[in-house]
Amino acid sequence: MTLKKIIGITALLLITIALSLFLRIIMKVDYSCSIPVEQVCNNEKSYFIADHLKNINKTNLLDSFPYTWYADSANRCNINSIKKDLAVLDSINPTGIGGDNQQLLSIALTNKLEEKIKPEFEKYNPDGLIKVLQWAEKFNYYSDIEEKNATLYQVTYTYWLTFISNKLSDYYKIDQSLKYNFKFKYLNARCKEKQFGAPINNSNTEKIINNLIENNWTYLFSRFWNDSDILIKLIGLIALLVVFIPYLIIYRIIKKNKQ
Amino acid sequence: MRYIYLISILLLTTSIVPYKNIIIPKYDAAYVEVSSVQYKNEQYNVICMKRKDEKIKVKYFAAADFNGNNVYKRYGNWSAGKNIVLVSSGTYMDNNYNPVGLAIDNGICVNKTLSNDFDGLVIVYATGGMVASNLKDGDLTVKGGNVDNNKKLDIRGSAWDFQTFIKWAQDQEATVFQTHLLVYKNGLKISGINSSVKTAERRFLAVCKDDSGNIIHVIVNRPDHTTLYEGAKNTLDFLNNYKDMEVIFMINLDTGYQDVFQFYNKDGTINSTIKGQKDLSTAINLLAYYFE
Repeated sequence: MTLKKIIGITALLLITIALSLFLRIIMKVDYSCSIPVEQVCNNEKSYFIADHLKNINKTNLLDSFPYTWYADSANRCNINSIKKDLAVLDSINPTGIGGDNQQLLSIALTNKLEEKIKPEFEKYNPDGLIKVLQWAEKFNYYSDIEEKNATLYQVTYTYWLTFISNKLSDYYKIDQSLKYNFKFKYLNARCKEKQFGAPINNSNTEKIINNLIENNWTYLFSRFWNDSDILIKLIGLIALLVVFIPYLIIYRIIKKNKQ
Repeated sequence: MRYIYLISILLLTTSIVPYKNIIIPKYDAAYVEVSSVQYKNEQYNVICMKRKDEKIKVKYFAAADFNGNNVYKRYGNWSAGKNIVLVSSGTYMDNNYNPVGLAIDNGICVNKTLSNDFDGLVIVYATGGMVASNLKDGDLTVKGGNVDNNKKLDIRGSAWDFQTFIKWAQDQEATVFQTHLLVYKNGLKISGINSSVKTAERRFLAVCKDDSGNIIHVIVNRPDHTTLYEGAKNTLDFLNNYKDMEVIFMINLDTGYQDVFQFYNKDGTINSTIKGQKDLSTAINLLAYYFE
């Protein structure tokens, strides 16, 4: 087999591998862009928090509050319902107005609620995260218009936006191609807009491209030379030859024809 | 002819005199010590900065400000007239040049996500001091403001405590960032099993205590390529056994995409013992040590 044929076959092989990798990413992308419609909160209140606080007084309120029941039953979609619950707590524990009572309800709306819904988010669940975002982001606005309970609202908002951002980061660690999905991009952009950025980093190829754009040639060479093993260096050399030898051949042909 | 002369002189003057941000760093050499050491067949380039008398201070720029001034510009404006000892790129960023994990710059929130990936939370006080906390321990304490100084905040475990902390940082104009906590209370916190196997030049910032109890901030540069784990482990050994220092905490300084580092001699000339590969103007975030 001549050198030209070897080079030709190697080049073909490299192009095929690159194309298959590219196609694999494209095939995996979820193009669905149907964002779940935001839920309209009803005013119904089918529970009475006071019934569950009968044996509770201000000394054991923090430890004895029925968090699990609250996470299951409360109408957390409706802000007026949450405010009424807080008013009941304030009547039981007047010394905790503006402090402990809000903290207690914040535990119910953050850590305890997360314990309840956690299984839904073990696998990539963009629709679920979008619903959480739609619910949680309202708390930021509530805190603007109601200073009295602003801390509770801000705590809830910050907690859930952090939850979404960290979930995106976790999903991304498992499958980097998720960043090409529309809903993932949507969630990531919304989180960034709210200053809850998730570290969706570049792949090694994207980092190389960025450095090429920025003309960081010495840096690229230094990283390649110091951080790659002998096999990668060899592949790099072959790739370099595949690119340059055809030019050399063309140059020689032109030179020969001129003579 | 006279006008031509005048204009020429004017042009010549403006071209040779920099119009702003003349950085002429000068500091008392008694507070800064630089050395290059071979220890167990490995090279360590070390800068020790003594915090005694609180003359050496720290300032951190986490991101561009809301007026569109990038970190380099902000640093340029701030550093005018200051005695800079060194300036370095700081913690990690994402591909949009945003800091990864919680970042508050001078009381302004840049990124509110408390990342689960980094256990180190570094607080740079407006007064020039710096402390770190291990988020896993949930025992962060803060100075000043309306927060009880003895209260232990568990900002990862309690949403309420996290909000309290953010409010405190805003009120105190503190600067906060999250990073890999490599060493804490003289114990290695990075594992060799699940850390990156990539090798690179390593640069660490260690806040240490010498045998007299004095706080010393140490920059350790490892030019040999090692993994983060190996680099951190060997540096801890070096600081403990060669420098006789107890490490309060040690964090990683980026030597990758934003490898910026500039160290000045006491007379203001550049010292090349440790030098980053990238220009200062490319910095996405900056950690500056200055003498006051």
